Amino acid sequence: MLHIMNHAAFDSAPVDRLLSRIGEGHTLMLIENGVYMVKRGSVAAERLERSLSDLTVCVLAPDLAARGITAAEVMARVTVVDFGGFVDLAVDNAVIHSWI
Amino acid sequence: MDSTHTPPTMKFAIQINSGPYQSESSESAYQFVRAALRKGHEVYRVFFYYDGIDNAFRYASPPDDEKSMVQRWSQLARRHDIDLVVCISAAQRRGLLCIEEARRVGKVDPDLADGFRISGLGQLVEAAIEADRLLVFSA
Repeated sequence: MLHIMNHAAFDSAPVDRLLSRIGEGHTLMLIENGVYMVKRGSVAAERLERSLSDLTVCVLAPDLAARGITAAEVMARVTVVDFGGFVDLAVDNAVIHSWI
Repeated sequence: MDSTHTPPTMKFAIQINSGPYQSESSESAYQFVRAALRKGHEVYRVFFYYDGIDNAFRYASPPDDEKSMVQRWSQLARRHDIDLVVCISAAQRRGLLCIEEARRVGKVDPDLADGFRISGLGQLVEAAIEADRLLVFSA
């Protein structure tokens, strides 16, 4: 299953809903303000790391760049993808849910 | 992961729930659609719902040095023959009328931009059935 999240961790309600429903083996695609969750050393990144140890986490490169977050600032075990990679994830996952 | 991976060809349906000046969702959806087309996938339909109908206003006039999401969608529809469908209830609530409806309620202009059509929620249901994947972009 592919979860798409465009809210930052400080918009707590959608993130709380996501973290309560996500399952082992799922993939999380972070876009727009959702990319703030992977900034190394942030409270959001620590929360994500604690909650999602069995999860594949991907983050959208242009949305990182738009927010001035460099590749070096992205937490470990996160894959940076372009829009083509986002499309591939949508192809690879038959069930897709946008957390809005 | 990069974009060199070659997945099977699929049909995508896209739902957009917010306007171009409300959130990044229109931009994200637009870039996703372009990337899917570049990879040889089909985009079966883009359905504009709730404030997403703001993407279809013909007379939206941003400054010349600023992108126009309305024009981008119109061009994409023209180049790739993509079905851009605006939810009729959401549109009429917000004053976006096709020419027939405008005439019916005594107004004169067609507000709908080129490449868009107004139809019902059934078109979203049909897209969800016909497409392999449905992605929702929202504020």
